[in-house]
Amino acid sequence: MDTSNVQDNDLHILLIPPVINPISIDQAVNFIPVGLLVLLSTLARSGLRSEIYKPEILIAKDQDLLLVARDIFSRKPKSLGFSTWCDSFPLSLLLAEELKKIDPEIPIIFGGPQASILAGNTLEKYPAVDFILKGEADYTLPELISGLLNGGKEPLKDLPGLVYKDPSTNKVIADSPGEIVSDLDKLPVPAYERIFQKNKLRIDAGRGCPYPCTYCTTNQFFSRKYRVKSAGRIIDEMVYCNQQLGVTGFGISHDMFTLNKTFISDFSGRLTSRNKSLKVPLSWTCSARTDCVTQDMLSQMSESGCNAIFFGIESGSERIQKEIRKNLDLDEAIRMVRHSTELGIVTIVSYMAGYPGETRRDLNDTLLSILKVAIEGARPQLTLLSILPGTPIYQQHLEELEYDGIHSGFSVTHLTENMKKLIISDKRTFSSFYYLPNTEISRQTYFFLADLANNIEHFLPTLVLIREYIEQEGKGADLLSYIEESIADYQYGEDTPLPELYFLTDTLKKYLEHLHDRGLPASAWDIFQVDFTKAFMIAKYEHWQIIQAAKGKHHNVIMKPGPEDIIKPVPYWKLIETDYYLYDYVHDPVGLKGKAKFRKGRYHYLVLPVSHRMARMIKVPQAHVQTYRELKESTVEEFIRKNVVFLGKDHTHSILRKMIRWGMVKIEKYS
Amino acid sequence: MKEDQKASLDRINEHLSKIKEEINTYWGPDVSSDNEVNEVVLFIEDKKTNPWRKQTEDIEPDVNDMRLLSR
Repeated sequence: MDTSNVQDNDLHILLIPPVINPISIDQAVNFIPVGLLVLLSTLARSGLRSEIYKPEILIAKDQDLLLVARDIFSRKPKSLGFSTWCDSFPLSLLLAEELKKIDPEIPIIFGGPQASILAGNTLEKYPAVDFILKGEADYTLPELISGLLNGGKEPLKDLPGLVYKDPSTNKVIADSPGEIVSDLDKLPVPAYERIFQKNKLRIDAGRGCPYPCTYCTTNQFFSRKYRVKSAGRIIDEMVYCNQQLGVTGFGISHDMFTLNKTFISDFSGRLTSRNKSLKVPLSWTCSARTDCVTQDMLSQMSESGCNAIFFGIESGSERIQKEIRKNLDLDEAIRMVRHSTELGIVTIVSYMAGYPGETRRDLNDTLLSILKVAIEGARPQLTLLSILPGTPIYQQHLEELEYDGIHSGFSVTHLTENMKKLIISDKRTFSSFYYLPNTEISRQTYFFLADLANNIEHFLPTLVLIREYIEQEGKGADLLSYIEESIADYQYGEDTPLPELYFLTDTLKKYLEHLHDRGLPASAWDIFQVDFTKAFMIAKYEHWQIIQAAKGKHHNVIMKPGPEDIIKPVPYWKLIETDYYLYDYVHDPVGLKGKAKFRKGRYHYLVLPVSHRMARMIKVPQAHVQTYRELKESTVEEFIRKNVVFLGKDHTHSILRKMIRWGMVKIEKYS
Repeated sequence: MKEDQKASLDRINEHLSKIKEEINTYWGPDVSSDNEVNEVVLFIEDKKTNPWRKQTEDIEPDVNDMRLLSR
């Protein structure tokens, strides 16, 4: 770093987040790992100015990297710090190379899980990287930047976790282990005010996981030493964000938040009390193991505002549970999932497939387990195993890995030609893009199953309604063979753009028909209609997002349009008509199972996605049906003129405001 | 199958066919072929595993979005 040029108002370091490619407009652009927010604070405490780069340039081809590099230099940073993950590591490395081409003197520092775990290997192979800071860099990054500002690398030799090349021998020095911060309460409050989007706020609660799961890197990067901030401190941070930013819903960032029962009881009790004094109570979500919660804990958590939990069951096979050292009691796991959904907590349950030596029976057990959690009202998700560097699975199977260009859903990046070349040239570094071949189960089957399982969550109201039938008839079923036999009929093509969803919808429809003479509730068809409409609209929403990102469109919401502005309906919502009143049941199928009153009549609902996984169902009064049914592109003035006749002025304006707020229409400014 | 059951099923079949037809049309070329970023869209369309299913525990925004909308 050329210290002679450093000015008081210079940006000492620009932090580059791990998700750099804004392929989908509402995910990449707004995502910041909470660790970077902590770094902003510790850097500021050391008198260093730092910012987080907001990625808005789509990287569709290798040449785009130059645009991104120029954009980065337009902020005039004195150094660059990359937060690295396995799935975007090829992009991080190629971008670093591009940056070095423009300014060979700029120090480039890599940190985060991927670079920490393969620190020596990365520095040896990729000369664009100057330093790697292993482990938790909350204190070490400010020291490194200050050291560089003050004139060189010499004084930094003893910095914990620093990996660098010795200037005299050009050998990589990687002796010291990464730092582990013991007392997290001593860290400054993360710079939450610097987040890009308020609904993406995650609270930095703690680090470390004592469990030895063989596929996971958490216990290597954050160590097996479980640490958590004090309950009072976490709540203070939540209240701070509420007061400063108006946030009321939080994600608790900790891989194992519920490990300590006493802590959770303390946290939940304090938050419940605090919530009583707030106008809008704070809510929160977290990750947990099913053997690290009890029914009582879940009740306390729910009472204090916990509205979503992510459980990793990972496999429905007892054999695999032991192999991967997850060691969950699968019956207990289902019980905890049930307790969670019964409390109205949105419960997500994660599974993986593609483990070493996975048999057809193992995989079928996982499918049956997925079905079990779904009929309990939980949202299952299935990912193909991603072999992460440094894990025991990686150590044992690295040589067997193969590459076919299709990577696990865990890797969410678009690959340019150079990225592909990089991945193919270096299996050791980019193992997460490879897979373990299985002689019994084809790749095609794995892909189909992953997408199929990930669509099940849209059909929970239907599945919960017919739970008893599935329990009775599905026990021990060979789902894997049944699905495999159908794959040939559901191939991707012009008339089948979503094969797994088409299969799931058709299969469930057939099953409902099969139940016709076995007491299928009359409301089932309407519920099914809502579910598949939801699923298809979410698919459309995803597709629309990708197209908008590809076109480089990042919409600003215009809440108060002028009369000549254009109203453009988005294509991913639908007005549906039903014979039964379903609203209450669809919003709480588990709570209302057997109790819901499905009144007969003529009802209208809007089905509107709010994210890549969830859609909202909205009641539509009879008087408003025509407005939604006949909505098409028009000026605001035309819309008002047309609707004011039968709705009146106030209702017409109110509907327009709602449609804008809900994202059903986009407004284009008259120019 | 009773009359009302048959009527429900017919209605669902009609709705499902229509929605599939719309989906098939929507998956058509919304981005022009001369658009240089078209390859990204095509790439993602052709992918067999759908990365947008969010294979992470990043569920908070979804739940919060639902809440905001319901207010």
